[in-house]
Amino acid sequence: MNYEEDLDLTTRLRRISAEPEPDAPSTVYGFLDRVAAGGPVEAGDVRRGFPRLSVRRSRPRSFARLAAVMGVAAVLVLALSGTLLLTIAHPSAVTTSPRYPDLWSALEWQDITATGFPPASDPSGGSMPGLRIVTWRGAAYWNSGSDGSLWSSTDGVSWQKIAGAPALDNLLATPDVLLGQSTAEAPCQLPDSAGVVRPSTCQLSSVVWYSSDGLTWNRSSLEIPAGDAISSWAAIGSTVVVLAGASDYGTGDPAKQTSLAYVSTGGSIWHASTMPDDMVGAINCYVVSTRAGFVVSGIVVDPAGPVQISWTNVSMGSVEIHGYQRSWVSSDGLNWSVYQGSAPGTPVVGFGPGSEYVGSRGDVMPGIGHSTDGTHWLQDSDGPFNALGQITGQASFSSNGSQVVACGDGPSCYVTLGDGRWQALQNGGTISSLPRQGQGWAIQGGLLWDAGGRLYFGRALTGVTLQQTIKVAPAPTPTPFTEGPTPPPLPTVSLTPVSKWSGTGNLVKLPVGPIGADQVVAWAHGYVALKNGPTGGHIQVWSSKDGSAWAAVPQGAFTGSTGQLTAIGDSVMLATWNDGNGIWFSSNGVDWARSGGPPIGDLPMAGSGLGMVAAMDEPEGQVMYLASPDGQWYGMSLPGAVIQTSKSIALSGSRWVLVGKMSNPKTGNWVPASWPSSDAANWKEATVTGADGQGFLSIVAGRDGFVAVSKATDSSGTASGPGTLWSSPDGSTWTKLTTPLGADATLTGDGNHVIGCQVDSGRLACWSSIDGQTWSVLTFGADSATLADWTAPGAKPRAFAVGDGVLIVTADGAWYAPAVVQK
Amino acid sequence: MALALPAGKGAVAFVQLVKTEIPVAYRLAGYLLRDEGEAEDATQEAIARAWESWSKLRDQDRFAAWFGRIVANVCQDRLRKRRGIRIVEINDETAGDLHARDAFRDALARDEVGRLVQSLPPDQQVVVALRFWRDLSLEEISDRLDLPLGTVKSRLHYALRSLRKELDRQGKVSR
Repeated sequence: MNYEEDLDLTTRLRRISAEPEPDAPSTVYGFLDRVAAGGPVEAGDVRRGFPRLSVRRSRPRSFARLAAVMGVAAVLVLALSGTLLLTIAHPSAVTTSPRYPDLWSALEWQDITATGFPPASDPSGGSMPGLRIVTWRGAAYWNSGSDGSLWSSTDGVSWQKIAGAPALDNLLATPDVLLGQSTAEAPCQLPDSAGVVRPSTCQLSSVVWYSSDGLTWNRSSLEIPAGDAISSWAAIGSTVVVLAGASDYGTGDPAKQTSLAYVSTGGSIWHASTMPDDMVGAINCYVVSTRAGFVVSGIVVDPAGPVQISWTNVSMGSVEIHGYQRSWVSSDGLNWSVYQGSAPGTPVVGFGPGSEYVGSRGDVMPGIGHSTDGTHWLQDSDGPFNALGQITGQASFSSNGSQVVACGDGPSCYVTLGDGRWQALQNGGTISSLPRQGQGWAIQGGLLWDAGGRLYFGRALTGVTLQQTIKVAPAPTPTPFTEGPTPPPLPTVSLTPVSKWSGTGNLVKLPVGPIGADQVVAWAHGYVALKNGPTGGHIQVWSSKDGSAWAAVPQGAFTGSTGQLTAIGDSVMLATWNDGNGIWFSSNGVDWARSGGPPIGDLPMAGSGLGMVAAMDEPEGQVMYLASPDGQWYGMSLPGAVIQTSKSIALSGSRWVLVGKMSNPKTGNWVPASWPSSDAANWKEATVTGADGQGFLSIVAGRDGFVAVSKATDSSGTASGPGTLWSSPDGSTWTKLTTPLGADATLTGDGNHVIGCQVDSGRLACWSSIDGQTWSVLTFGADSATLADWTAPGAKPRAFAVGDGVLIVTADGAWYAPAVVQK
Repeated sequence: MALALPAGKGAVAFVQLVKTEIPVAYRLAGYLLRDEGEAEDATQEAIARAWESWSKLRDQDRFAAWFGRIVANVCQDRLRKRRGIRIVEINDETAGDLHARDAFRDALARDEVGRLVQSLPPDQQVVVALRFWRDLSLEEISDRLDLPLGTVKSRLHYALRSLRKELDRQGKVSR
């Protein structure tokens, strides 16, 4: 059907226009004059507006955390307000009144690391993993991420461990009880990259505990089936609703399916809710409390619907989930129906008489706003994302039941009572500095700053302005990125001969190894491996000098749940994105220093001692070259059509090959495309004939050739279906492979050997090649038990060439053996 | 990230040409991004990108199409970056309660189809916006986006098909 002839539709579309159409504000014309006057123009000038709330807003686990501070406001707002509004005399304070004298205005910081909270799990940096804090009945309760132990404090400085409390990984307060979740490993069902649910072993199950005094804890009657886990919970008064379903733990897949909902009025006895059919199986669901009742929002999966989630994983490629946004409401948590009212926002402060919400409503309200009922939102004109300046880094929101504090890097924190007014908080106190990056937690009387493996408490001062403030650590200095000139000539690479492999010696299971690693890279001084974390989690990094002995790098050193490793000069680089972007360099694989630089986190990249190359997507169509961590970025344009998309890059010797797709000028369809370069400066373009409607997704390199995977790609750029394997000696000419490898084989390459593996007849079968065209079977030296481990449900086995050896990695283990050279 | 800008060569001509295109660019960005503030940002970003590449433009007669393509690409990038962020749709009830009214958002909220457009892939949204809200012909869109005509047609086809399907599914159209 020609839908342009659908007059109802096209007329309705044409009728959509603003009357009168708004004119561009004068600031745009001023910007134009400033640009043309010779610049330079900083990116901040361009992105003057609200940044969207960081991904914490869309992370289900954070909803649970945010929801954990809800429900207590009814008690706390009245109980705390009198105390919190008192002006606290302090020697460093002067009588100058801040903008809002009734709001917190400053934080008097002290380091409380050694005053009784659990030892930092990671002294190298980062925040305490899994930390949750709620304020309940005048005290702050904190479950340590390091061991799940529960601690409490009434002043924010002295913390006491609650003996006998279960290990908890989440907390929720109601007026009557304090609730906690504990989790355990269990067999489970997980969706794979195609959305098909398969058996797995990395799942969590959840148990709910309750306490009426914070000291004595009882296990509730809630029995969540093995394989499911609590994804979200919320309370209205004493009524608590819990959503549960297949967890995303261990896969990074955001498609968490909700299959169960429970309700309880005291935390002890739980009842299963009656859910509409479309609510069962909906993904990314979270529950919030509103004055309309409990509202659950999520995505009803429908392959015919528009894309709702686009997710890329280094090992699994691009995943798109189609469906529709939908909300359901329940006044009692037992019976649910489709919600027709205004969808709720993401509240971060409690619900109750006299209280308001602070949160966000997505496209309705860029930045942040407040609400009295959780569904109707007013934008805060002077919030921390506009008039008061911008929060940078990962913003954290927390509430003690009356104040809401938003913190970014610095720490740069802002406070509100949920009435639309925000005030910047000065940093003061006796300590000399604070870690720049961390997580803020508002508690009674002040703010905890959980950063760098240490904990700080900032006592809140109200209505005063400090004379002296703490100097916060400066942000990393960005490395300028300049277009052109071309990079300096690269040194000549002399390569030693590479032998073909026929198998391995006896594979030994490593006591410490890169279990579940998605990527292993060789660099000047050894090997580094990376495993991506689940949404809202952390990456894991391991380092090895020889590929057989590995050590874990403390994960708290990094932000971000997804990352990429690349060799560069004498160093190795880690770039992260999702839940926190960053670039780190290391010259020994163990110690990592954060650096500035262009935002290249999720770009295809590859490097070696020669330097590294990262490729930008359309419309820029550029590649960037960096010779060393402290060097100059060079930018070069790719030749050819504008409509091009780069997906993956590989390096063999001194030849980089970038692959992706471009538009066929004759048919308008995508075709696989490649751009080879032997000097990182000059790039050629090549397309694959006979592959209309496809695009390259990935490429790996051997010593004498490359192997790439293409897939059918529709007009919107979405790839689907089985993969097709291609080989090329130079990245310019491509030949379809007819190897034993199937469409779903996993491919790795270190620039010398390419290894392809697949499970055939219940056994892991692998082949290796150095040119991508001739392949030899790899015979593994492994006993039957080990072989069985590799093909257990959810094992996800893959093999990496590491120097003269082979590393086998599954979800549960890592094995290494020297390679056997083919005679 | 600091942008390394060329010298002020041709600055007067650049300013004159851009000024005539700013209203069109700003409105296109507004409809696509559904936010006056972000439309302003996107227009500024497009100006910065255009100035960076100004020296490469050989035919100033084609400035409007060239600059329009940059604007469309900037918007498309911004739409792509929104993916993965949970988007909550506006409705009339909510829009009426907001202090900060937004002309573009209000316009798109007038009809369910305006709200549905934002669920389309970014490249389809751009084609829809140029076709129905900038009133360009398919050939002009092809020229503006530097896309083959067939690609423009297919993107529009899939976009309209998705919109019709969703409208029918919602049962809000009786035909």
